Amino acid sequence: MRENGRAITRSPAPAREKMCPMAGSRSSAPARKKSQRAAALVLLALLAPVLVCPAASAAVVLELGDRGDNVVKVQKRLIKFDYLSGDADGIFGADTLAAVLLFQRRNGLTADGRVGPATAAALGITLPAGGSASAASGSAYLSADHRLLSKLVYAEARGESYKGQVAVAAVVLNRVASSEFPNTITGVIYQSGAFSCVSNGSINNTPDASCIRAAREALNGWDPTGGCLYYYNARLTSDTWIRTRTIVTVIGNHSFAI
Amino acid sequence: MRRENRRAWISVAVLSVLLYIATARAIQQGARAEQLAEAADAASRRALYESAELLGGLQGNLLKLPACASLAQKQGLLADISRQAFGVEENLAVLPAGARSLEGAIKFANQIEDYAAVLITTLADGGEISEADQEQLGALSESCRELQLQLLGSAESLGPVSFAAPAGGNETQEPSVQYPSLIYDGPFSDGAQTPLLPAQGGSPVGAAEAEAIARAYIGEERVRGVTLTGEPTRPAPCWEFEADCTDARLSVSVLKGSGQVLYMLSDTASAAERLPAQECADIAAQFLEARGYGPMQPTYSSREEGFLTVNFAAVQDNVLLYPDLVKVEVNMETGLVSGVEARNYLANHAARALPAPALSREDAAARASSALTVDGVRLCVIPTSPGERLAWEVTAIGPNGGVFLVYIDAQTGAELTILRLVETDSGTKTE
Repeated sequence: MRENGRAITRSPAPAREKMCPMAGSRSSAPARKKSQRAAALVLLALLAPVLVCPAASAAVVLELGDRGDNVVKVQKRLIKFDYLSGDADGIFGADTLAAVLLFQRRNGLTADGRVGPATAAALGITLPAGGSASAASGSAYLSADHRLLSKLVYAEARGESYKGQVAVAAVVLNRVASSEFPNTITGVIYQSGAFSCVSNGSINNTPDASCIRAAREALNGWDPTGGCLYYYNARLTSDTWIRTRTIVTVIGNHSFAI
Repeated sequence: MRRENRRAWISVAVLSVLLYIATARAIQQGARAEQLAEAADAASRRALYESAELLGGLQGNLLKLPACASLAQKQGLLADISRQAFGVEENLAVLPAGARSLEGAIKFANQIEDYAAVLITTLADGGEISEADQEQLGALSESCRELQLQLLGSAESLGPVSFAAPAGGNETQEPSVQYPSLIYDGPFSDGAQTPLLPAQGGSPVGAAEAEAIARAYIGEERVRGVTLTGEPTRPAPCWEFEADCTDARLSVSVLKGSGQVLYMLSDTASAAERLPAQECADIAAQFLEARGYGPMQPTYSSREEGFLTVNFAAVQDNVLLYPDLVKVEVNMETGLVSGVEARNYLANHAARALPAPALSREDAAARASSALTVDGVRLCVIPTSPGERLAWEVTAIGPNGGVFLVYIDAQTGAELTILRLVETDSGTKTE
């Protein structure tokens, strides 16, 4: 704009103030906008757990060696997207692993070869708990007990040393042998109130190789607890009764007792 | 102003939609939770009523038993009693009362089951139900009634349940060793279960001497360092060590009373099966021989996750002693022994005064079922509950090609037990 031949540069007036002369103070409109955004974010933060929790509460992770319906689901998607060829056989083998890695790399996911919630979401599928089996081998009957015991060890002791994992598995088997507890591995593990991982569902996660091996070791007779029937984490438990049991040995975070 | 109003209305609309979705989801989840709670409640009531019904049946059968004259009737009743007791125990285990308050009731049901098993064996051996047994059966029947009334009362309220351990259970019965050998290992692989190890011969050892024993047991050339990690008191007072080795980290437990090794355990996985199974089995045998275990014979092996686990039984005068069992685990990648489990050996191994068998090898073979084709016979000692028996182990092929191990009492000719060999990916199991 020119005035009297000289270029005039004017400071741009705040658009809102110019548009809304009755708004009051110079900062009221931006502040209102900020407060509206803040309120929306707070509401979203409050609502998010209600909206997404059902999916998050049952996180299943598939990896090399797993089998089952969830693996079939993943394979079908990978075949559909041309990452995998052949039939969906339900076995997470080397070909499936390669396809998963390629999919993850191309879709900006962490390329770890494991299908967790993020990769499953990218594939457009959900993985319900119980839809896959661990990599334990053997006859069907043997695998069921070995698998269940492995899942329990994973849920209860995956952060413990290998010896601690064998010890937890051994406690289950000691209970089977004891007349005070059910006579089967299934009965002991699913006995009401016996293991918190059963009531909170974490027993349904896929065990890792260490826990599978630890369960096998215990099934083969190794027992670092010397016959204990109980164990607890002394730092975490609020159970006063279990603290009355006689401690036989401490392995890692767990005290083993009779 | 118009634009600002529109933005405000859009924000309100979006938030309203989100709130609606959240509310709908919450209502849906609440309804689902209610459904699940009702299902759990129904399952608990079913378990209570079923337990009560089974206890009613138990009560009646326990009273009928002494009144039966025929062996067949008694055996049928005992089979029913065993099944009913197992059913009570299974149903009690799922009740929401919490594990501890039901321990007494579960133990009671287990003891009835074990007692029935003992009576079955007694009758099979030609014995009778004694007067003491009859009194015991009467007391058990009365206790079943008490427990039934408690359960029926709880079924009405489904409040917290608390059971006093009923009287009359037989305190001395040990469960027969069936479950472990049924599942995952060779014959009598769990040996004779004892909660505590009997006193061992030999001299007590201190921590330093025990560490030297652990080092020698593992092999000095493998050991880089040893740390004392604990002194557990079961199954016997032990020194526990952790050894940092060239190939793995090993846990070793040495008995304080005798300096013998109770177990060795490795935390390192095997990456591959590089060595053949037979070579690993030979390594295991040489390991035991070098450590003074005496004559041992491999009875069974399994191969899983790169490890070969071999069961060895002691041998005395060509008789296989199954209760004197040692398990050796060999890493098939390195060829090194990664694990030893010697509890049964330490609990049971002793020189035995074995009687000459009253039954000949041929007689034993003839006592196997006519449906089986005998493939081999050998003399052995097997664990029973309680104690152990000298028996002929008859290996036989069934009509469908299945392989069976039939154990015939070497003195009485009675058929003690039958195991079936099951082929799996990791080896041959017994059930």
